[in-house]
Amino acid sequence: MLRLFHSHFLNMFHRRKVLPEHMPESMGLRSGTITADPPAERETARTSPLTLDHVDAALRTVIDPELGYNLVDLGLIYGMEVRGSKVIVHMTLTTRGCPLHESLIHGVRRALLNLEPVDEAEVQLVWDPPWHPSLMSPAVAAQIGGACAKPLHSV
Amino acid sequence: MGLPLRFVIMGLVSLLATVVLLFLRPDVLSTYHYNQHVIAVSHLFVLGFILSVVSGALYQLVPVALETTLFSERLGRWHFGSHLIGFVGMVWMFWIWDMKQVGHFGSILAFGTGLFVYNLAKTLRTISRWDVVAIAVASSLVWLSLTVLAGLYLAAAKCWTFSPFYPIAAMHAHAHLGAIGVFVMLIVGLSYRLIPMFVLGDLQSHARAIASVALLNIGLAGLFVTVLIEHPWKLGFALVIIVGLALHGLELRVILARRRRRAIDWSVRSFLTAIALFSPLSVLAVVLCWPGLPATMLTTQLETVYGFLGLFGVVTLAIIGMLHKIVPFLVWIRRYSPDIGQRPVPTLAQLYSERLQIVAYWLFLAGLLSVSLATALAHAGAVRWSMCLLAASLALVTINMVRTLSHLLPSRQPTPRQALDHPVPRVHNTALSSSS
Repeated sequence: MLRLFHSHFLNMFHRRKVLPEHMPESMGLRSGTITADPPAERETARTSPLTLDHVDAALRTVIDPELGYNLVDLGLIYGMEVRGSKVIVHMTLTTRGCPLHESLIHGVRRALLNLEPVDEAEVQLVWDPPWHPSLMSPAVAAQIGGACAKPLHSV
Repeated sequence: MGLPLRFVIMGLVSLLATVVLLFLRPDVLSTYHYNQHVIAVSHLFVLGFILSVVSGALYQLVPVALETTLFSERLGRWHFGSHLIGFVGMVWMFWIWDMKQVGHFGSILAFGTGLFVYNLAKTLRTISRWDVVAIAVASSLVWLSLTVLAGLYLAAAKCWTFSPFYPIAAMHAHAHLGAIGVFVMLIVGLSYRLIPMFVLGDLQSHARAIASVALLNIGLAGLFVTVLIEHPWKLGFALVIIVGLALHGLELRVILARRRRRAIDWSVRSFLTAIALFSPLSVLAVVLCWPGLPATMLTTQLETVYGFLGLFGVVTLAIIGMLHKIVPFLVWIRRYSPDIGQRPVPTLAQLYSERLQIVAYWLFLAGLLSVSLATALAHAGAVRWSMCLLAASLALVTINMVRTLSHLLPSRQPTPRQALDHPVPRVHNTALSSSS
Protein backbone atom coordinates (compact mmCIF):
# COMPACT_ATOMS: atom_id res chain seq x y z
CA MET A 1 0.00 0.00 0.00
CA LEU A 2 1.34 3.33 -1.00
CA ARG A 3 1.67 5.51 2.03
CA LEU A 4 2.48 9.17 1.81
CA PHE A 5 2.55 11.67 4.50
CA HIS A 6 2.70 15.40 4.77
CA SER A 7 2.29 17.72 7.69
CA HIS A 8 2.68 21.48 7.68
CA PHE A 9 2.49 21.55 11.40
CA LEU A 10 5.06 18.86 12.08
CA ASN A 11 7.50 20.30 9.63
CA MET A 12 7.14 23.67 11.22
CA PHE A 13 7.36 22.72 14.88
CA HIS A 14 8.81 19.30 15.48
CA ARG A 15 10.72 18.52 12.30
CA ARG A 16 9.26 15.04 12.41
CA LYS A 17 8.15 13.22 9.33
CA VAL A 18 5.71 10.66 10.62
CA LEU A 19 2.63 11.33 12.64
CA PRO A 20 2.29 8.76 15.43
CA GLU A 21 -0.60 6.38 14.94
CA HIS A 22 -1.94 7.19 18.40
CA MET A 23 -1.96 10.98 17.90
CA PRO A 24 -5.58 11.39 16.88
CA GLU A 25 -6.90 9.51 19.90
CA SER A 26 -4.56 11.13 22.38
CA MET A 27 -4.88 14.67 21.06
CA GLY A 28 -8.16 14.93 19.30
CA LEU A 29 -11.62 15.49 20.62
CA ARG A 30 -13.48 14.24 17.62
CA SER A 31 -12.82 12.08 14.67
CA GLY A 32 -14.95 10.60 11.98
CA THR A 33 -14.96 8.54 8.86
CA ILE A 34 -17.29 8.81 5.93
CA THR A 35 -17.45 6.70 2.82
CA ALA A 36 -17.71 8.01 -0.69
CA ASP A 37 -20.67 8.34 -3.01
CA PRO A 38 -20.57 6.10 -6.09
CA PRO A 39 -17.56 7.14 -8.20
CA ALA A 40 -19.79 8.00 -11.16
CA GLU A 41 -21.15 11.01 -9.27
CA ARG A 42 -17.78 12.60 -8.58
CA GLU A 43 -16.61 15.69 -10.33
CA THR A 44 -13.03 14.66 -10.91
CA ALA A 45 -11.90 11.68 -12.94
CA ARG A 46 -8.26 10.80 -12.68
CA THR A 47 -6.14 8.00 -14.00
CA SER A 48 -2.91 9.01 -12.24
CA PRO A 49 -2.25 7.97 -8.61
CA LEU A 50 -3.58 10.14 -5.85
CA THR A 51 -0.90 12.39 -4.37
CA LEU A 52 -0.73 14.81 -1.49
CA ASP A 53 -0.80 17.64 -4.00
CA HIS A 54 -4.27 16.51 -5.03
CA VAL A 55 -5.36 16.39 -1.39
CA ASP A 56 -3.84 19.80 -0.76
CA ALA A 57 -5.66 21.25 -3.77
CA ALA A 58 -8.96 19.75 -2.63
CA LEU A 59 -8.56 21.20 0.86
CA ARG A 60 -7.90 24.62 -0.61
CA THR A 61 -11.48 24.61 -1.94
CA VAL A 62 -12.84 24.66 1.62
CA ILE A 63 -13.03 28.16 3.10
CA ASP A 64 -13.66 29.40 6.61
CA PRO A 65 -16.67 31.62 5.85
CA GLU A 66 -15.99 33.93 8.80
CA LEU A 67 -12.40 34.70 7.78
CA GLY A 68 -12.85 34.19 4.03
CA TYR A 69 -9.69 32.15 3.42
CA ASN A 70 -9.13 28.49 2.67
CA LEU A 71 -8.19 26.10 5.44
CA VAL A 72 -4.71 25.33 4.10
CA ASP A 73 -3.66 28.95 3.87
CA LEU A 74 -5.13 29.58 7.31
CA GLY A 75 -2.81 26.89 8.69
CA LEU A 76 -5.67 24.81 10.03
CA ILE A 77 -4.50 21.64 8.30
CA TYR A 78 -1.90 19.96 10.51
CA GLY A 79 -1.36 16.83 8.46
CA MET A 80 -2.52 14.76 5.48
CA GLU A 81 -2.05 11.10 4.82
CA VAL A 82 -2.95 8.92 1.85
CA ARG A 83 -3.39 5.20 2.35
CA GLY A 84 -4.53 3.78 -0.94
CA SER A 85 -8.09 4.99 -1.39
CA LYS A 86 -8.30 6.34 2.13
CA VAL A 87 -7.29 9.88 3.09
CA ILE A 88 -6.70 11.02 6.65
CA VAL A 89 -6.54 14.72 7.50
CA HIS A 90 -5.51 16.16 10.85
CA MET A 91 -6.89 19.63 11.34
CA THR A 92 -7.69 22.22 13.98
CA LEU A 93 -9.88 25.31 14.23
CA THR A 94 -8.96 28.86 15.18
CA THR A 95 -10.85 28.56 18.45
CA ARG A 96 -12.52 25.89 20.55
CA GLY A 97 -16.27 26.04 20.39
CA CYS A 98 -16.12 27.46 16.88
CA PRO A 99 -19.73 27.46 15.64
CA LEU A 100 -18.54 26.39 12.17
CA HIS A 101 -16.98 23.25 13.60
CA GLU A 102 -19.35 20.70 12.03
CA SER A 103 -19.62 22.52 8.70
CA LEU A 104 -15.88 22.71 8.18
CA ILE A 105 -15.29 19.07 9.06
CA HIS A 106 -18.04 17.96 6.70
CA GLY A 107 -16.71 20.32 4.04
CA VAL A 108 -13.28 18.76 4.28
CA ARG A 109 -14.74 15.26 4.03
CA ARG A 110 -16.82 16.16 1.02
CA ALA A 111 -13.87 17.83 -0.72
CA LEU A 112 -11.77 14.73 -0.16
CA LEU A 113 -14.47 12.37 -1.35
CA ASN A 114 -14.72 14.35 -4.56
CA LEU A 115 -11.25 13.12 -5.39
CA GLU A 116 -10.84 10.01 -7.50
CA PRO A 117 -10.17 7.31 -6.19
CA VAL A 118 -10.89 8.27 -2.56
CA ASP A 119 -13.42 5.93 -0.99
CA GLU A 120 -12.91 6.86 2.60
CA ALA A 121 -12.10 10.20 4.21
CA GLU A 122 -11.21 10.57 7.85
CA VAL A 123 -10.93 13.93 9.61
CA GLN A 124 -9.18 14.10 12.96
CA LEU A 125 -9.87 17.33 14.84
CA VAL A 126 -7.04 18.17 17.23
CA TRP A 127 -6.55 21.05 19.67
CA ASP A 128 -2.99 20.49 20.75
CA PRO A 129 -1.03 22.46 19.83
CA PRO A 130 -3.53 25.27 19.48
CA TRP A 131 -3.72 27.19 16.24
CA HIS A 132 -1.53 30.26 15.98
CA PRO A 133 -1.22 32.95 13.26
CA SER A 134 2.35 31.87 12.52
CA LEU A 135 0.78 28.80 10.85
CA MET A 136 -0.89 30.94 8.19
CA SER A 137 0.62 31.36 4.75
CA PRO A 138 2.56 34.64 4.45
CA ALA A 139 0.03 36.11 2.02
CA VAL A 140 -2.95 35.42 4.29
CA ALA A 141 -1.01 36.42 7.40
CA ALA A 142 -0.29 39.76 5.75
CA GLN A 143 -4.01 40.23 5.12
CA ILE A 144 -5.27 39.12 8.53
CA GLY A 145 -2.24 40.03 10.67
CA GLY A 146 -3.05 41.24 14.15
CA ALA A 147 -1.61 43.29 16.93
CA CYS A 148 0.71 40.61 18.25
CA ALA A 149 2.91 38.03 16.65
CA LYS A 150 3.22 35.59 19.53
CA PRO A 151 0.61 34.09 21.83
CA LEU A 152 0.33 35.86 25.16
CA HIS A 153 -1.68 34.36 27.96
CA SER A 154 -1.49 36.80 30.80
CA VAL A 155 -1.02 40.46 31.50
CA MET B 1 -37.54 27.74 10.36
CA GLY B 2 -35.17 27.08 13.25
CA LEU B 3 -35.90 28.19 16.79
CA PRO B 4 -33.20 30.91 17.04
CA LEU B 5 -34.30 32.49 13.76
CA ARG B 6 -37.96 32.57 14.85
CA PHE B 7 -37.05 34.48 18.00
CA VAL B 8 -34.81 36.86 16.08
CA ILE B 9 -37.54 37.69 13.55
CA MET B 10 -40.08 38.21 16.35
CA GLY B 11 -37.58 40.55 17.96
CA LEU B 12 -36.99 42.57 14.82
CA VAL B 13 -40.73 43.03 14.26
CA SER B 14 -41.09 44.24 17.86
CA LEU B 15 -38.20 46.64 17.43
CA LEU B 16 -39.79 48.21 14.38
CA ALA B 17 -43.14 48.41 16.19
CA THR B 18 -41.41 50.20 19.08
CA VAL B 19 -39.80 52.77 16.81
CA VAL B 20 -43.10 53.44 15.00
CA LEU B 21 -44.88 53.85 18.34
CA LEU B 22 -42.24 56.27 19.62
CA PHE B 23 -42.54 58.30 16.42
CA LEU B 24 -46.33 58.43 16.75
CA ARG B 25 -46.25 59.07 20.50
CA PRO B 26 -43.05 61.01 21.32
CA ASP B 27 -44.61 62.03 24.64
CA VAL B 28 -43.67 58.55 25.85
CA LEU B 29 -40.11 59.81 26.17
CA SER B 30 -40.74 63.49 26.80
CA THR B 31 -42.93 63.06 29.88
CA TYR B 32 -42.35 61.35 33.23
CA HIS B 33 -41.83 57.65 32.79
CA TYR B 34 -44.37 56.33 35.28
CA ASN B 35 -47.44 56.06 33.08
CA GLN B 36 -49.24 53.27 31.25
CA HIS B 37 -47.94 54.09 27.75
CA VAL B 38 -44.31 54.29 28.80
CA ILE B 39 -44.66 50.97 30.60
CA ALA B 40 -46.41 49.40 27.58
CA VAL B 41 -43.74 50.58 25.14
CA SER B 42 -40.97 49.57 27.53
CA HIS B 43 -42.34 46.04 27.72
CA LEU B 44 -42.81 45.88 23.95
CA PHE B 45 -39.17 46.83 23.59
CA VAL B 46 -37.72 44.78 26.44
CA LEU B 47 -39.81 41.62 26.11
CA GLY B 48 -40.68 41.80 22.42
CA PHE B 49 -37.34 42.87 21.06
CA ILE B 50 -34.52 42.37 23.55
CA LEU B 51 -35.67 39.24 25.36
CA SER B 52 -36.80 37.61 22.10
CA VAL B 53 -33.44 38.17 20.41
CA VAL B 54 -31.58 37.21 23.57
CA SER B 55 -33.60 33.97 23.82
CA GLY B 56 -32.93 33.10 20.19
CA ALA B 57 -29.25 33.97 20.58
CA LEU B 58 -28.94 31.86 23.72
CA TYR B 59 -30.58 28.87 22.05
CA GLN B 60 -27.92 29.25 19.36
CA LEU B 61 -24.91 30.36 21.37
CA VAL B 62 -25.08 28.36 24.59
CA PRO B 63 -24.63 24.96 22.94
CA VAL B 64 -21.88 26.39 20.72
CA ALA B 65 -20.05 28.49 23.28
CA LEU B 66 -20.17 25.81 25.94
CA GLU B 67 -19.57 22.88 23.56
CA THR B 68 -22.71 20.98 24.44
CA THR B 69 -26.17 20.34 22.95
CA LEU B 70 -29.51 21.97 23.77
CA PHE B 71 -31.51 19.87 26.23
CA SER B 72 -34.82 20.10 24.35
CA GLU B 73 -35.81 21.80 21.09
CA ARG B 74 -39.46 20.99 21.87
CA LEU B 75 -39.43 22.98 25.10
CA GLY B 76 -37.98 25.83 23.07
CA ARG B 77 -40.98 25.77 20.72
CA TRP B 78 -43.36 25.90 23.70
CA HIS B 79 -41.35 28.79 25.05
CA PHE B 80 -41.72 30.61 21.74
CA GLY B 81 -45.52 30.31 21.77
CA SER B 82 -45.87 31.30 25.42
CA HIS B 83 -43.50 34.22 25.00
CA LEU B 84 -45.35 35.54 21.96
CA ILE B 85 -48.81 35.31 23.54
CA GLY B 86 -47.52 36.58 26.88
CA PHE B 87 -45.70 39.70 25.77
CA VAL B 88 -48.25 40.77 23.13
CA GLY B 89 -51.04 40.45 25.70
CA MET B 90 -49.04 42.25 28.35
CA VAL B 91 -48.21 45.18 26.11
CA TRP B 92 -51.82 45.50 25.01
CA MET B 93 -53.13 45.33 28.60
CA PHE B 94 -50.53 47.79 29.86
CA TRP B 95 -51.62 50.21 27.13
CA ILE B 96 -55.25 50.08 28.28
CA TRP B 97 -54.09 49.65 31.91
CA ASP B 98 -55.94 46.48 32.84
CA MET B 99 -53.56 45.15 35.45
CA LYS B 100 -55.59 42.01 36.14
CA GLN B 101 -55.12 40.94 32.53
CA VAL B 102 -51.48 42.01 32.67
CA GLY B 103 -51.14 39.48 35.47
CA HIS B 104 -52.80 36.77 33.36
CA PHE B 105 -50.66 37.37 30.29
CA GLY B 106 -47.65 37.84 32.53
CA SER B 107 -48.29 34.37 33.94
CA ILE B 108 -48.25 32.93 30.41
CA LEU B 109 -44.98 34.72 29.77
CA ALA B 110 -43.65 33.45 33.10
CA PHE B 111 -44.59 29.89 32.09
CA GLY B 112 -42.58 30.26 28.87
CA THR B 113 -39.68 31.83 30.73
CA GLY B 114 -39.76 28.93 33.17
CA LEU B 115 -39.45 26.48 30.28
CA PHE B 116 -36.58 28.53 28.87
CA VAL B 117 -34.71 28.65 32.18
CA TYR B 118 -35.29 24.92 32.77
CA ASN B 119 -34.14 24.06 29.24
CA LEU B 120 -30.94 26.06 29.52
CA ALA B 121 -30.28 24.96 33.10
CA LYS B 122 -30.50 21.31 31.98
CA THR B 123 -28.19 22.19 29.08
CA LEU B 124 -25.70 23.83 31.44
CA ARG B 125 -25.69 20.73 33.65
CA THR B 126 -24.16 18.74 30.81
CA ILE B 127 -21.08 20.91 30.40
CA SER B 128 -17.83 19.51 31.71
CA ARG B 129 -15.92 22.73 32.30
CA TRP B 130 -17.45 25.74 34.09
CA ASP B 131 -15.86 28.91 32.85
CA VAL B 132 -16.76 32.59 33.08
CA VAL B 133 -19.22 32.31 30.17
CA ALA B 134 -21.15 29.48 31.83
CA ILE B 135 -21.19 31.34 35.15
CA ALA B 136 -22.53 34.49 33.48
CA VAL B 137 -25.22 32.57 31.59
CA ALA B 138 -26.28 30.73 34.75
CA SER B 139 -26.35 34.04 36.67
CA SER B 140 -28.50 35.63 33.99
CA LEU B 141 -30.98 32.76 34.20
CA VAL B 142 -31.33 33.26 37.95
CA TRP B 143 -31.82 37.01 37.51
CA LEU B 144 -34.32 36.43 34.70
CA SER B 145 -36.42 34.19 36.95
CA LEU B 146 -36.30 36.78 39.73
CA THR B 147 -37.18 39.59 37.31
CA VAL B 148 -40.27 37.75 36.08
CA LEU B 149 -41.34 36.97 39.65
CA ALA B 150 -40.81 40.61 40.61
CA GLY B 151 -42.94 41.64 37.62
CA LEU B 152 -45.77 39.34 38.68
CA TYR B 153 -45.48 40.73 42.20
CA LEU B 154 -45.80 44.29 40.86
CA ALA B 155 -48.87 43.33 38.80
CA ALA B 156 -50.45 41.68 41.84
CA ALA B 157 -49.61 44.73 43.97
CA LYS B 158 -51.63 46.84 41.54
CA CYS B 159 -54.67 44.57 41.92
CA TRP B 160 -54.50 44.11 45.70
CA THR B 161 -53.01 46.55 48.17
CA PHE B 162 -50.57 44.40 50.11
CA SER B 163 -47.17 45.70 49.02
CA PRO B 164 -45.23 47.77 51.58
CA PHE B 165 -42.94 49.17 48.88
CA TYR B 166 -43.25 52.51 47.13
CA PRO B 167 -44.52 51.59 43.60
CA ILE B 168 -42.00 53.68 41.63
CA ALA B 169 -39.10 52.32 43.70
CA ALA B 170 -40.38 48.78 43.14
CA MET B 171 -40.63 49.43 39.41
CA HIS B 172 -37.07 50.77 39.31
CA ALA B 173 -35.80 47.75 41.24
CA HIS B 174 -37.62 45.38 38.84
CA ALA B 175 -36.18 47.21 35.82
CA HIS B 176 -32.60 47.05 37.14
CA LEU B 177 -32.98 43.38 37.95
CA GLY B 178 -33.81 42.64 34.32
CA ALA B 179 -31.58 45.15 32.58
CA ILE B 180 -28.40 44.49 34.57
CA GLY B 181 -29.04 40.94 35.73
CA VAL B 182 -30.07 39.56 32.36
CA PHE B 183 -28.93 41.83 29.55
CA VAL B 184 -25.75 43.42 30.91
CA MET B 185 -24.73 40.10 32.45
CA LEU B 186 -25.08 38.35 29.10
CA ILE B 187 -23.29 41.10 27.20
CA VAL B 188 -20.39 40.88 29.64
CA GLY B 189 -20.32 37.09 29.83
CA LEU B 190 -20.75 36.28 26.16
CA SER B 191 -18.28 38.97 25.11
CA TYR B 192 -15.55 36.93 26.80
CA ARG B 193 -16.23 34.20 24.23
CA LEU B 194 -17.43 36.17 21.20
CA ILE B 195 -14.87 38.97 21.03
CA PRO B 196 -11.83 36.65 21.17
CA MET B 197 -13.54 34.42 18.60
CA PHE B 198 -14.14 37.25 16.12
CA VAL B 199 -10.81 39.04 16.52
CA LEU B 200 -8.76 35.84 16.85
CA GLY B 201 -7.68 36.56 20.38
CA ASP B 202 -7.58 34.92 23.79
CA LEU B 203 -9.09 35.71 27.14
CA GLN B 204 -6.09 37.24 28.88
CA SER B 205 -7.06 37.02 32.53
CA HIS B 206 -9.67 34.52 33.62
CA ALA B 207 -9.50 35.87 37.17
CA ARG B 208 -10.31 39.38 35.97
CA ALA B 209 -13.23 38.08 33.92
CA ILE B 210 -14.59 36.09 36.86
CA ALA B 211 -14.18 39.12 39.13
CA SER B 212 -16.17 41.30 36.75
CA VAL B 213 -19.08 38.84 36.71
CA ALA B 214 -18.91 38.37 40.50
CA LEU B 215 -18.99 42.13 41.09
CA LEU B 216 -22.00 42.45 38.80
CA ASN B 217 -23.81 39.78 40.81
CA ILE B 218 -22.90 41.22 44.20
CA GLY B 219 -23.60 44.79 43.14
CA LEU B 220 -26.96 43.92 41.62
CA ALA B 221 -28.13 41.96 44.67
CA GLY B 222 -27.38 44.99 46.83
CA LEU B 223 -28.71 47.50 44.32
CA PHE B 224 -32.03 45.69 44.01
CA VAL B 225 -32.66 45.76 47.75
CA THR B 226 -31.45 49.33 48.28
CA VAL B 227 -33.43 50.69 45.33
CA LEU B 228 -36.51 48.82 46.55
CA ILE B 229 -36.32 50.25 50.06
CA GLU B 230 -34.93 53.60 48.83
CA HIS B 231 -31.78 53.32 50.90
CA PRO B 232 -28.83 55.68 50.25
CA TRP B 233 -26.45 52.71 50.02
CA LYS B 234 -27.68 52.18 46.49
CA LEU B 235 -24.84 54.48 45.41
CA GLY B 236 -22.30 52.08 46.93
CA PHE B 237 -23.77 49.07 45.15
CA ALA B 238 -23.96 51.03 41.91
CA LEU B 239 -20.23 51.69 42.28
CA VAL B 240 -19.60 47.95 42.79
CA ILE B 241 -21.35 47.30 39.46
CA ILE B 242 -19.36 50.09 37.80
CA VAL B 243 -16.09 48.55 39.03
CA GLY B 244 -17.24 45.21 37.54
CA LEU B 245 -17.93 46.93 34.21
CA ALA B 246 -14.55 48.68 34.36
CA LEU B 247 -12.80 45.32 34.82
CA HIS B 248 -14.76 44.00 31.85
CA GLY B 249 -13.71 46.99 29.75
CA LEU B 250 -10.09 46.52 30.78
CA GLU B 251 -10.14 42.83 29.85
CA LEU B 252 -11.64 43.59 26.44
CA ARG B 253 -9.02 46.29 25.89
CA VAL B 254 -6.21 43.82 26.55
CA ILE B 255 -7.84 41.16 24.37
CA LEU B 256 -8.08 43.66 21.52
CA ALA B 257 -4.52 44.87 22.01
CA ARG B 258 -3.29 41.30 21.59
CA ARG B 259 -5.65 40.18 18.87
CA ARG B 260 -4.39 38.30 15.83
CA ARG B 261 -6.81 39.74 13.31
CA ARG B 262 -5.92 43.29 12.41
CA ALA B 263 -9.24 44.47 11.01
CA ILE B 264 -12.18 44.85 13.36
CA ASP B 265 -15.37 44.44 11.36
CA TRP B 266 -18.39 46.69 11.83
CA SER B 267 -20.36 44.06 13.72
CA VAL B 268 -17.69 43.90 16.38
CA ARG B 269 -17.35 47.71 16.31
CA SER B 270 -21.07 48.07 17.06
CA PHE B 271 -20.71 45.68 19.96
CA LEU B 272 -17.65 47.51 21.28
CA THR B 273 -19.38 50.88 20.91
CA ALA B 274 -22.19 49.50 23.04
CA ILE B 275 -19.63 48.53 25.67
CA ALA B 276 -18.12 52.02 25.49
CA LEU B 277 -21.56 53.49 26.22
CA PHE B 278 -21.30 51.96 29.68
CA SER B 279 -19.10 54.98 30.55
CA PRO B 280 -21.68 57.79 30.13
CA LEU B 281 -24.31 55.45 31.51
CA SER B 282 -22.22 54.88 34.65
CA VAL B 283 -21.77 58.62 35.15
CA LEU B 284 -25.53 59.10 34.82
CA ALA B 285 -26.15 56.24 37.25
CA VAL B 286 -23.90 57.82 39.90
CA VAL B 287 -25.61 61.19 39.49
CA LEU B 288 -29.09 59.68 39.77
CA CYS B 289 -28.11 57.54 42.78
CA TRP B 290 -26.68 60.50 44.64
CA PRO B 291 -28.29 60.72 48.09
CA GLY B 292 -30.70 63.60 48.40
CA LEU B 293 -30.90 64.32 44.68
CA PRO B 294 -34.02 66.51 44.23
CA ALA B 295 -36.77 65.26 41.91
CA THR B 296 -36.86 68.11 39.42
CA MET B 297 -38.03 68.18 35.82
CA LEU B 298 -34.43 67.72 34.70
CA THR B 299 -33.53 64.86 37.05
CA THR B 300 -36.69 62.89 36.28
CA GLN B 301 -36.05 63.34 32.56
CA LEU B 302 -32.46 62.21 33.12
CA GLU B 303 -33.89 59.01 34.58
CA THR B 304 -35.68 58.48 31.26
CA VAL B 305 -32.45 59.23 29.38
CA TYR B 306 -30.66 56.71 31.62
CA GLY B 307 -33.19 54.00 30.76
CA PHE B 308 -33.20 54.93 27.08
CA LEU B 309 -29.41 55.00 26.84
CA GLY B 310 -29.14 51.69 28.65
CA LEU B 311 -31.73 49.79 26.66
CA PHE B 312 -31.63 51.55 23.29
CA GLY B 313 -27.95 52.44 23.46
CA VAL B 314 -26.00 49.67 25.14
CA VAL B 315 -28.26 46.65 24.71
CA THR B 316 -29.69 47.43 21.26
CA LEU B 317 -26.37 48.42 19.74
CA ALA B 318 -24.78 45.26 21.10
CA ILE B 319 -27.65 43.20 19.71
CA ILE B 320 -27.48 44.89 16.30
CA GLY B 321 -23.76 44.17 16.14
CA MET B 322 -24.22 40.52 16.99
CA LEU B 323 -27.28 40.18 14.71
CA HIS B 324 -24.92 40.80 11.79
CA LYS B 325 -22.98 37.79 13.00
CA ILE B 326 -25.75 35.48 14.16
CA VAL B 327 -28.28 35.86 11.32
CA PRO B 328 -25.74 35.39 8.48
CA PHE B 329 -24.34 32.42 10.37
CA LEU B 330 -27.77 30.79 10.80
CA VAL B 331 -28.62 31.41 7.15
CA TRP B 332 -25.23 30.20 5.95
CA ILE B 333 -25.50 27.01 8.00
CA ARG B 334 -28.94 26.25 6.55
CA ARG B 335 -28.26 27.29 3.00
CA TYR B 336 -24.55 26.87 2.26
CA SER B 337 -23.16 24.44 4.79
CA PRO B 338 -24.30 21.44 2.72
CA ASP B 339 -22.38 22.87 -0.25
CA ILE B 340 -19.03 23.50 1.38
CA GLY B 341 -16.39 21.28 -0.16
CA GLN B 342 -18.65 20.66 -3.17
CA ARG B 343 -19.00 24.06 -4.79
CA PRO B 344 -18.03 27.68 -4.07
CA VAL B 345 -19.82 29.21 -1.12
CA PRO B 346 -19.97 32.86 -0.03
CA THR B 347 -18.41 34.15 3.16
CA LEU B 348 -20.69 35.30 5.98
CA ALA B 349 -19.90 38.95 5.21
CA GLN B 350 -21.05 38.46 1.62
CA LEU B 351 -24.59 37.66 2.76
CA TYR B 352 -25.25 41.31 3.61
CA SER B 353 -24.07 44.78 2.67
CA GLU B 354 -21.30 46.21 4.81
CA ARG B 355 -21.94 49.64 3.30
CA LEU B 356 -25.53 49.62 4.60
CA GLN B 357 -24.24 48.41 7.95
CA ILE B 358 -21.82 51.34 8.22
CA VAL B 359 -24.48 53.92 7.33
CA ALA B 360 -26.88 52.30 9.81
CA TYR B 361 -24.20 52.46 12.52
CA TRP B 362 -23.60 56.20 12.17
CA LEU B 363 -27.31 56.98 11.83
CA PHE B 364 -27.94 55.01 15.00
CA LEU B 365 -25.33 56.95 16.97
CA ALA B 366 -26.66 60.27 15.67
CA GLY B 367 -30.20 59.18 16.57
CA LEU B 368 -29.14 58.00 20.01
CA LEU B 369 -27.47 61.31 20.80
CA SER B 370 -30.29 63.48 19.49
CA VAL B 371 -33.09 61.48 21.15
CA SER B 372 -31.18 61.57 24.45
CA LEU B 373 -30.83 65.35 24.25
CA ALA B 374 -34.46 65.82 23.21
CA THR B 375 -35.59 63.56 26.05
CA ALA B 376 -33.46 65.41 28.61
CA LEU B 377 -35.05 68.67 27.43
CA ALA B 378 -38.52 67.04 27.41
CA HIS B 379 -39.09 68.30 23.88
CA ALA B 380 -41.69 66.08 22.21
CA GLY B 381 -41.16 67.50 18.70
CA ALA B 382 -37.42 66.97 18.86
CA VAL B 383 -37.96 63.42 20.15
CA ARG B 384 -40.23 62.69 17.19
CA TRP B 385 -37.80 63.90 14.54
CA SER B 386 -34.79 62.44 16.26
CA MET B 387 -36.58 59.11 16.22
CA CYS B 388 -36.51 59.38 12.43
CA LEU B 389 -32.74 58.92 12.54
CA LEU B 390 -33.10 55.79 14.63
CA ALA B 391 -35.93 54.59 12.39
CA ALA B 392 -33.78 55.13 9.29
CA SER B 393 -30.92 53.24 10.90
CA LEU B 394 -33.14 50.34 11.91
CA ALA B 395 -34.71 50.29 8.42
CA LEU B 396 -31.23 49.75 6.98
CA VAL B 397 -30.55 47.02 9.53
CA THR B 398 -33.83 45.39 8.51
CA ILE B 399 -32.95 45.64 4.82
CA ASN B 400 -29.66 43.92 5.59
CA MET B 401 -31.41 41.20 7.56
CA VAL B 402 -33.99 40.66 4.80
CA ARG B 403 -31.15 40.54 2.29
CA THR B 404 -29.46 37.88 4.38
CA LEU B 405 -32.64 35.89 4.91
CA SER B 406 -33.42 36.03 1.18
CA HIS B 407 -30.62 33.51 0.67
CA LEU B 408 -33.01 30.95 2.12
CA LEU B 409 -35.52 31.46 -0.70
CA PRO B 410 -35.80 28.51 -3.07
CA SER B 411 -35.21 30.80 -6.07
CA ARG B 412 -31.68 31.42 -4.83
CA GLN B 413 -30.83 27.73 -4.57
CA PRO B 414 -28.34 26.85 -7.31
CA THR B 415 -29.43 24.07 -9.58
CA PRO B 416 -27.07 21.18 -10.30
CA ARG B 417 -26.51 22.69 -13.76
CA GLN B 418 -25.36 25.97 -12.24
CA ALA B 419 -23.12 24.08 -9.90
CA LEU B 420 -21.41 22.37 -12.83
CA ASP B 421 -21.00 25.69 -14.58
CA HIS B 422 -19.08 26.98 -11.55
CA PRO B 423 -16.92 24.12 -10.36
CA VAL B 424 -14.83 24.36 -7.26
CA PRO B 425 -11.71 26.32 -8.21
CA ARG B 426 -8.43 24.49 -7.76
CA VAL B 427 -6.51 27.60 -6.84
CA HIS B 428 -5.45 29.35 -3.67
CA ASN B 429 -8.89 30.80 -3.40
CA THR B 430 -9.52 33.20 -0.60
CA ALA B 431 -13.13 34.21 -0.88
CA LEU B 432 -15.50 34.51 -3.76
CA SER B 433 -15.52 37.87 -5.35
CA SER B 434 -19.28 38.14 -5.15
CA SER B 435 -22.01 36.56 -3.14
CA SER B 436 -24.10 33.92 -4.72
